[in-house]
Amino acid sequence: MSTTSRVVTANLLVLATVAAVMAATVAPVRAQEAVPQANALGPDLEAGRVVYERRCLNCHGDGGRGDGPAADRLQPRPRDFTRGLYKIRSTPSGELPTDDDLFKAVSRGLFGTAMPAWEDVLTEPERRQVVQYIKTFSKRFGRQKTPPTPVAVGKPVASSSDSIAKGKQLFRDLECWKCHGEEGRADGPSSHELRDDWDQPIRPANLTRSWNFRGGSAPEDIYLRVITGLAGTPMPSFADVLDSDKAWHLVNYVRSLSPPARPALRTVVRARRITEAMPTQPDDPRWEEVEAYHFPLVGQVIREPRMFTPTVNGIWVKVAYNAQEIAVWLAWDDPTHSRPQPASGDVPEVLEDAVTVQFPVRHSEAQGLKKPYFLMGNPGDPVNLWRWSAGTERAAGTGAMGGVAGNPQGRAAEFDATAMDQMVPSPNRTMTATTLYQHGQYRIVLRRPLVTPDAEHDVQFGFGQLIPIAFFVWDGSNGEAGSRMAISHWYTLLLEPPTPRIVYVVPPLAALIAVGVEWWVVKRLRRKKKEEPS
Amino acid sequence: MRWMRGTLLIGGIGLLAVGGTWLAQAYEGSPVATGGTIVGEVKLAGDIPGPKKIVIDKDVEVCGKERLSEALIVSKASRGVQYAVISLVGVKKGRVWDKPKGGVELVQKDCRFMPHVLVVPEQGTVDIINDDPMTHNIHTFSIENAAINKAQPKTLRKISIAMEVSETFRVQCDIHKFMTGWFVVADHPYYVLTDAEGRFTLKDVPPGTYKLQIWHETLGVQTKEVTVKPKEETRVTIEVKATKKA
Repeated sequence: MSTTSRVVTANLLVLATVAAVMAATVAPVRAQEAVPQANALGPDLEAGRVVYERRCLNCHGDGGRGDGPAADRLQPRPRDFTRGLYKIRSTPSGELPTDDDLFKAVSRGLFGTAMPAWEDVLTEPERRQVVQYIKTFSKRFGRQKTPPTPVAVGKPVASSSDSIAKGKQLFRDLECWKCHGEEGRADGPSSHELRDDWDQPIRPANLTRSWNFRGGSAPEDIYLRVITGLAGTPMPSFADVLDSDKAWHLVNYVRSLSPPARPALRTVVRARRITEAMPTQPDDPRWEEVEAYHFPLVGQVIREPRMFTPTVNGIWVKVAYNAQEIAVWLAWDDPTHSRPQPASGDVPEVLEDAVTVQFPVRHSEAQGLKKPYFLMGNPGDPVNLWRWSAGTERAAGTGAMGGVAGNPQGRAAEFDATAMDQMVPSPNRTMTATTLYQHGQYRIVLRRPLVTPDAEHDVQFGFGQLIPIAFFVWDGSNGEAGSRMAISHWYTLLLEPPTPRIVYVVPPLAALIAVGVEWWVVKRLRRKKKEEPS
Repeated sequence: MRWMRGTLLIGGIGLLAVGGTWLAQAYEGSPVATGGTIVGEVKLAGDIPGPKKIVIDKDVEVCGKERLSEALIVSKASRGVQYAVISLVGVKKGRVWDKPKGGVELVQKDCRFMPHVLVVPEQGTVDIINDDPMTHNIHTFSIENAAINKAQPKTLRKISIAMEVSETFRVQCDIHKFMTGWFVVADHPYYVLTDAEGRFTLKDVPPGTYKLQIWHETLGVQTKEVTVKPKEETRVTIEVKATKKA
């Protein structure tokens, strides 16, 4: 008590420090006594503090250093507010963000990260209050003499093939590709060793997945990122290099690399029937006619050891079949082609990249909607795993692995499993894989006969059946192996039955009969009318 | 009441920082008639580590395939440490500060920052020149000064950045990770860089007792008390130990 009353009356500069030291070491100071008297926070800041402690502290930490209890499981890590460095700004490189920049980040969240949009949870005044409170963590805000000025956003240039071509040339000339990769998949030569200002590894944005752009994917958002740079990261400001028109060309090019919108989640994969031979190569142009489905992937955090920060967060899937075979086309972005290498000297061990398509061994409508446990099955409900891996299998005790047939790189293998650690190689080797790794993307075709003689171990495909399907991906360079992986839910695969011939006969016949009956009815009515005396 | 401590601590630090800025006096220079000279050497104690080799795997046609790290350069003959910065702590008055007229140049050539350690007066300007036929980015890791990160393609030969307050910080090109340098923003003229043999000279020091600070990017900071007598030469030898990191 005496501590706090002294704080009020005596020299603030000295005693605030004394109080802090004493509070930290000797006397617990009570909130309701200390705050109004010490006048440390105004009413708005006090309200902001309440919001912060309730909603933000768990990730950003009680001192705003980005070291809350949940921080270690997040990639990217939560912002450390003490340096005053903010990625998403409207202000020039080296300047603090505006209050509106921070308000927008709190309201919309940061896409592709754990930072959620708070606009549905917190009122606008609450969000403005917490912004003011966050600013107290860095002395830079207290030091600024005038509020920072946003950069001018020049008159937009509408997207066109001409503007996109100019943007592409700038992307080459300014060497954006050195980090973002030649096709924008974050696989450029300098992308693998980037670190942020806190010496944490950081990856460039994958420009083909604009829905994960931290500050949004609207044209003006991208314009501001290019012009202001992302403070605290290797992404520099191009303000001294680009005039407004050039910046817009670059924006238009970047936008052209992603689908126009985040791919919608459709849960049923409809396989395309192909009458001739199957396209076996991943870049066979016939795959372009097959519909692509996008499935989100998340880290496996249910079983130890867990993977909280997987590299791959989505996979594209196409399925085709003919009378004999089924082919599953997969594509996912991984900036490194990792093949297994033992540790040597300073270089740590490199694990292999891999992908698995999971089916239940047995499925039937009679089972209803019952599926095996989505993480590699359960006793009595085995799954059939189609696995491709970039190097040789190193797992001990699993015996001989699947064949290398048809794929010079990597290995295709089939397993049956009833749990993540209960994987046994399938006795059959009927699946083959062809792979392509280019510009930060894997494309793979896994092929197998629709039906095999061994229904005990192999999934059997029939037309018109709803067959559960799931996906697992490992990025070896990210330490992913075994249960440390990216996983999906169960989704559904449907091989629509080939159209039977009767389909071409019955509808015309029915139409013909209908017309005939109508003609007869009309004729009869007219005759009846004629016969009636008027 | 953990938040309470945090708040008070932050408040206290904030107030101290603000107060510190108010109290900080600018350096005053006037001719020093009876000044002395400090002549010294910075030497490494213990084993002299071999120069660390950096293997370069990108843009080798410009950057070269390998180079020796500049993070710790020790002369085999004299044990002298290059690129240490010697300064007198907290000097407010002394000789006339002969500041450079324009900006101090930092040149990027063959994927190197030259000089590796740049001393620049506060309120001064650094002109960053790109002499390489490709893009570099200027990323500074300052706390007190504005931390910037600007792209500098070959078409943009010069970028000027202003230095506000005294601080020592790293500059880096993220595209070429092996490219690092240091900025030492000086608050008075008594800052000097050691040469390849670890030697330095500070001239026109008003007589008195000073705290001499030795900063080196790998070896850290250490201080030594030095007394300067009128018109005399004071010799100092500073032994620094290699940290585990080096």
